[in-house]
Amino acid sequence: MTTNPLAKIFIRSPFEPITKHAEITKEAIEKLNAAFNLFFERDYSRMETLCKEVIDLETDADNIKAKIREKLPSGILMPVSRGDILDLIDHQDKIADQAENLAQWLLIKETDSIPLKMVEFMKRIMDLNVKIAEAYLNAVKEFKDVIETIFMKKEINDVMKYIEIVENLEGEIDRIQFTLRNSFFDFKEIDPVSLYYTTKIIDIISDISDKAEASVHRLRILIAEK
Amino acid sequence: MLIWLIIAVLVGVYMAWNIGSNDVANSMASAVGAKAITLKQAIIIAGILNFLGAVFVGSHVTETVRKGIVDPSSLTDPTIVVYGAISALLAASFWVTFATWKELPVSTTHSVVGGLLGFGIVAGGSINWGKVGEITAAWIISPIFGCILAFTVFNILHYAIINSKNSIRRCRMIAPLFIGLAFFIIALSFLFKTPLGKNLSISGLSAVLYSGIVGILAMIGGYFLISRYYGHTSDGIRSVESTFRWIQVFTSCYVAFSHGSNDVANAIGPVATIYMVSKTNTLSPSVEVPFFLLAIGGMGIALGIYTWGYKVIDTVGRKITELTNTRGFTIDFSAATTVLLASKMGLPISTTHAVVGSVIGVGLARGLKAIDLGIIKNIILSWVITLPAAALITIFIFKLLTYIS
Repeated sequence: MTTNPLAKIFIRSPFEPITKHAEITKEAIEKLNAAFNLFFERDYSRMETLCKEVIDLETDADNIKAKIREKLPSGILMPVSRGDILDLIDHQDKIADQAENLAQWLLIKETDSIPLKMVEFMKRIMDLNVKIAEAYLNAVKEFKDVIETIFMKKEINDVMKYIEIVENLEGEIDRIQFTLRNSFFDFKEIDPVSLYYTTKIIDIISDISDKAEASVHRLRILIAEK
Repeated sequence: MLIWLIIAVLVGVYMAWNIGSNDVANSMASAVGAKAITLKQAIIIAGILNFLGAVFVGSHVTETVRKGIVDPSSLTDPTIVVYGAISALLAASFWVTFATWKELPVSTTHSVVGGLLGFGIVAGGSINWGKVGEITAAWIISPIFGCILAFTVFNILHYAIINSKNSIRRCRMIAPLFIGLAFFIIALSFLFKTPLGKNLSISGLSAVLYSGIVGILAMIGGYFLISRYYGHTSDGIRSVESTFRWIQVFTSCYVAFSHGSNDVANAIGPVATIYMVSKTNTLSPSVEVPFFLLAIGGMGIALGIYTWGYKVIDTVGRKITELTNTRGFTIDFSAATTVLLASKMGLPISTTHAVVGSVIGVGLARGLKAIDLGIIKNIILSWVITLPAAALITIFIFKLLTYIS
């Protein structure tokens, strides 16, 4: 009975797991933000738990990504191109990768190495990252509706709305990063290792938003496939 | 002779049972998957409508299987014809059983045609290659035709109804057209060049005319029913889907009817050969296939559905719940139209392949999230294996029978 052609022709669509993947990513970013605040409060025991949860979530996301790839045989017929879907999941997965990366760096617990003047800016960036992850998840959910309604204009506009939110938030982070970069020269007396630690963390938190922006650009390509 | 006839009827019923238990699922599962009908309703509809299709429209393809592929008049000995037909039937049913057990994708149509080809080869030069060419062309064309039809129908539904600003009103205008068209084709299949048409002394042209009237009446009836009972929610898409959910009850009847009209020949065609030769003791009697043989075939199919097929319908139906009503409708409408047209042309085709073609058509119209085109390989494989396998088994059985006697 398993060879029944009709039962075999319908295969699991990748759109639900992609949404699930984006949900996990959002959860990881939220946990990461909480861990980030605890890091500055030097509440390391609670931070550690959260960081480990972030690392676990990244593993879950990786597994979903692997499954999506596995279940997309080359002979698949979808409303959008298989290559673009694989590209989207590739980029989307990098958001969670960077979240895990930051969790690892926080676990070094060198809060004192970070110049106090920079902390507020960094916290702001992380707050914006949470908003980005939320908007990104909504964009992916709306994208699923675009597929279901076969590219209905209204649904495409809904995706566009969230794509623009992500892009605007990313722009805001870019501006904060610019200020931060300029202020580095105020800390000429800081030791090189601390400076490295600080720049590394700043780079990663801004990279989270860059990866999210790269992902929404893939979504833009996908919804343009008229 | 009588003993062969009894054996032939039994094996014929077994073949019909196979069709009912394995193949009917492919025509009924989309309506079950889209939740337009329950499993119980599917079984009732499939049983009755397969029977009706077999009895009223099954004669065309049965004639082809009976004398179109191997021309009995080209042979000299009636015994050879009886042995050939029984060998082909036995070989086909053996191959279908083996394939089901080994989980190979085969169609009863290809098995029977392969069996008859084996008979033609072993009996010597009596194959009507022109007809075989037509059938082979139909095997290629029917899934493509189903695909194009489904692609067109789904695009009409999508752009003219679902995606329009006033989808509820558009649905009321356009959906009845499809109901009318389905009724027109069914009525035509009943009246155009059929025994029933002859009995009522209806000519070809008036058959078209009467069917046209039936179609228009169905269209008007459909219009009133839809505007009275369906599509009264404010959500456009949901209204359209609920309307098509109701229409799907008709299209699942349509697809079951078409299936019976085409596939009964696979079981009854060789039986008809034996019956007619043994009864008249001439090689190629020009009388029509008797009604009761088609009825036996139709009952065999229904029996297959009630004893085993319902399980397969359930399994397949559960796997394709992703189908919405407009999509399920499109698949059923396109597949049924393809199969019924082939039946009227006397061409034995695979209903399953017509359904698969229609599914791909909806997929190409971007109506399905993910379908596996690897299935096309399966379809081609099913021919490449089945035709020679059934032919070889037939040759073996035929040699055995002539050796024993």
